[in-house]
Amino acid sequence: MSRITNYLTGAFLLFLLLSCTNDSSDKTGKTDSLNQLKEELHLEKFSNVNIAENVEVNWNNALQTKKKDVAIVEFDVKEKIPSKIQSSFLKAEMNYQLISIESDGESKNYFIEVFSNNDSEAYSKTITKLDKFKGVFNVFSLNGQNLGTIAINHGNARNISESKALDFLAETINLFYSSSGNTKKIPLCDGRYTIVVEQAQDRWRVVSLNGKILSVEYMDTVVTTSILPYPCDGSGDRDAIILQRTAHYYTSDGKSYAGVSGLLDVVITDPSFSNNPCLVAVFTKLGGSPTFQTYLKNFDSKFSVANLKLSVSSTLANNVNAETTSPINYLINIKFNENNLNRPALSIARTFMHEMIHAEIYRKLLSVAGQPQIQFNTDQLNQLRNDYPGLYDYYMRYEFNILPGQNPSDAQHEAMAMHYRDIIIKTLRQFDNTLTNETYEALSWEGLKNTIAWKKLPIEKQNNILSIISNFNNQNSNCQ
Amino acid sequence: MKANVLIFLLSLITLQAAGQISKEKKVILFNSATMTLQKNIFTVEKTTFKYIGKKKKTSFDSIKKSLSNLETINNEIVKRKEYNKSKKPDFYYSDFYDLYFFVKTNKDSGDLYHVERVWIVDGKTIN
Repeated sequence: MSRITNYLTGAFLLFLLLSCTNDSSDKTGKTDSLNQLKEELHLEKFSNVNIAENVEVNWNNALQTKKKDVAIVEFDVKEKIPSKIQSSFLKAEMNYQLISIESDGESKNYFIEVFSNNDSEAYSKTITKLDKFKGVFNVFSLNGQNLGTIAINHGNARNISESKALDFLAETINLFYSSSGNTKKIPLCDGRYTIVVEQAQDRWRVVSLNGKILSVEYMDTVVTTSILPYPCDGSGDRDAIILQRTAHYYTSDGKSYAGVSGLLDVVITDPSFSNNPCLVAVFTKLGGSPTFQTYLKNFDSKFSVANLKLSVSSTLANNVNAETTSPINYLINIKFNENNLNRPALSIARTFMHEMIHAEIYRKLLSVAGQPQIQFNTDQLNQLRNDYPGLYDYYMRYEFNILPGQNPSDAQHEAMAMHYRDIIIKTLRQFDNTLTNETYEALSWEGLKNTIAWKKLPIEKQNNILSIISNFNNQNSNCQ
Repeated sequence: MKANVLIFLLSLITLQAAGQISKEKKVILFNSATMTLQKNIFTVEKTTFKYIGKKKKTSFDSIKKSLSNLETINNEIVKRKEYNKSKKPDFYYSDFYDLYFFVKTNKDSGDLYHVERVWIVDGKTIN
């Protein structure tokens, strides 16, 4: 008995010793990893000054998460002096975080700068709970190399920079992403779901005299078939789904624009836009224009360096139809004036195309700048000259290289007046082919009357264009 | 003899190359009344500069000799034989100079920022 007790005591002591050894090696391993992270992080090498000089990592509090074979350790990073950004669509606060991800024995570390959209919940300080978050992560290596940007939409991560270095991080974030399905009864919006409703109406001829029915005769039965949208659950952005459905079912002229829905989810739509029936109808119909599609496709997040947002404002000046903002954090915003929609649909289509051309020019400039905003140094200006000689020429002539005695002008409008009006005319004709060439030509000048090209037109021609536009506006019903 | 000539020629080439690489240091004294510094961008009238690298604590005496201003720098560029009148002088900054801004933090010292000229497209287009 005592021998058995001795064996048991010995086994217990051995187990205790082994447990202590394992625990201690685990702790040592963690300390080593932490020290390695500390050694690898070189904040001073970041070209982003706020990161280089104004942030510190809280090494004492690591958030650890494990899912499948992936282990994530996250450290909160705080700004010493909180900075705020001024933006109409981003929250003022920025967040920073250091993330270490280990999978299959391989470890990858990232430093992220987080921008949250205004309509998003605040960043939850973990990449594992992003279901209510909308915004972007600027991702850096620990020695300050900018790896690119990941866009987050309710937990769904998209590697918008298409940088291979970000694939692993995006995939890790998507491990925690689930569709917002509330019920299994509703199918996902991955196709077009419809229900066919048949309504039968029997028609009878009733002959009466002084209130007295003389005869009732059956004539025929009229069957009306309606195809109605069947509700489906959002696998993506709610607004994009509204637009998708609108594209399929609510086009103003009743035509079906197959293939349009694929284009509609390439843009970010503010509810102010998607709830505006006039703009949605025009946008939907424009989706049927191959020229407009070509421009829109350039913002497909799979291929684009920029994101495009459509919104509506009621505070723009009365004489402004719309405005397009230069990219901030890769986002270009087209804002329509809610108070200037009392125009024919074709006129609004013209505004759409005009703004799309601005957005496209900004996108091209951004692709050369290689940053979240458009900023060129001398080398990048040279690259602009090589990649887009026309844009380089216009920016040099009208903005960057204004020589003494010359007045600054708007490079984009000057370029548009000279080279893009044919594209506007083509789009307008694809939108509505019932008008005369003079009408399309005249409408294409809208928004370009401050340009040198317009001022060079003979006064008679200018007056003729203004008269055609005025007649067109008076003779056609307004969109809103 | 031949070896000596070769060494002499090599030295000459090396010296010439070194002369081409090293640019003249120009320091602009930051004046908050006429200039702005926002995030990492210095703006002097409508000319913008982005600072590259980190700021350095520097004594005023050490940069005194390199002090200049944009007008003087532009005038110097215009006089150079490489200058082409079709472009404004600021397109030549990086060819000839290493530009710095000095922001005084007290009487005798301040922060020195190495900068490069940048052209910014911001704001919005209105239709």
